[in-house]
Amino acid sequence: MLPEYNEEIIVAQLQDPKRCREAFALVVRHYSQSLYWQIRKMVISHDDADDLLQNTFLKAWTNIAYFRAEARLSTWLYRIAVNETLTFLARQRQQNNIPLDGEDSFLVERLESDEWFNGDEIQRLLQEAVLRLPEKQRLIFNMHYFDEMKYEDISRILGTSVGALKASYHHAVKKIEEYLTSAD
Amino acid sequence: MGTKKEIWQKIDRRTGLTEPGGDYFEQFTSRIMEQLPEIERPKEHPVTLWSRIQPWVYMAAMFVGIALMVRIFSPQTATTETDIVAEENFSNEYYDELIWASCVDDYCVYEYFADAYDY
Repeated sequence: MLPEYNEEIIVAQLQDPKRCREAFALVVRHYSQSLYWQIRKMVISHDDADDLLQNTFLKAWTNIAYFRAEARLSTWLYRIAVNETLTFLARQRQQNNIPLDGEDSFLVERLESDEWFNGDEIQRLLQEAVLRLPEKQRLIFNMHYFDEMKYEDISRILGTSVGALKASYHHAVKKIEEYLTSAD
Repeated sequence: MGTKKEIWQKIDRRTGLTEPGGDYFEQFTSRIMEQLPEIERPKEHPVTLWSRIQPWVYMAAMFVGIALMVRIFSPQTATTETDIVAEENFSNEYYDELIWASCVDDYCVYEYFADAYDY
């Protein structure tokens, strides 16, 4: 039977060289699913999400000695995952010759051919609308709408004020609604 | 497609993205644990007595330096006893010589006053 996840105990064990490996396994088991979906919603492809999730945990592991309990472990891991994802998307954009402020149309194409997508018509349209949003708005929309994360938590991860997050979310919802109603 | 409200109700926070097959998350944990390298933790430097008092010693040295500089470069204002005696001697000799050089003696001074008040 797996030991119960207690963040305070886990953080203390992570600082102990003798127990940090064992504690890190619990961290991976506890956070892999939520981080995977966070990344997957941004990059669509399962293979890319898998690679990025591995990189996230490898980075977390190599920097574990520098983790201070001032931030929550989940915030720290989300931050690493978001940075990895954004770096990956920037590289992809460069490879696809897409300008910095351009839409990630390659992701829409990827969605259409993805074997791990079996949404109905409305979900496909929603994903298309979300993938046409600017990167930051997409991130905020995914976190708040799909993951039902609080603005305060998103603010800690992205380092953006709650007011700015609310405004971004509002803009994102408006654009999505416009896209969905125009698709009639 | 319906009103905006109906659209959001239909979507119901579902992405349409499905979970990868098999026991992906369980396998992921074992896979990542096998890949973890040995980590080098930063060496912790012990806190020595010198490292604790170092800033205070530096600050004290700075004040001593400033005090010395003030003493060296400021004009001397304090007078010693020998200075006062020397000054007195200098004053008496100076005025005697001055009176002698001007050929004015006590008598001349009295005469001057008597003339000045000669109504």
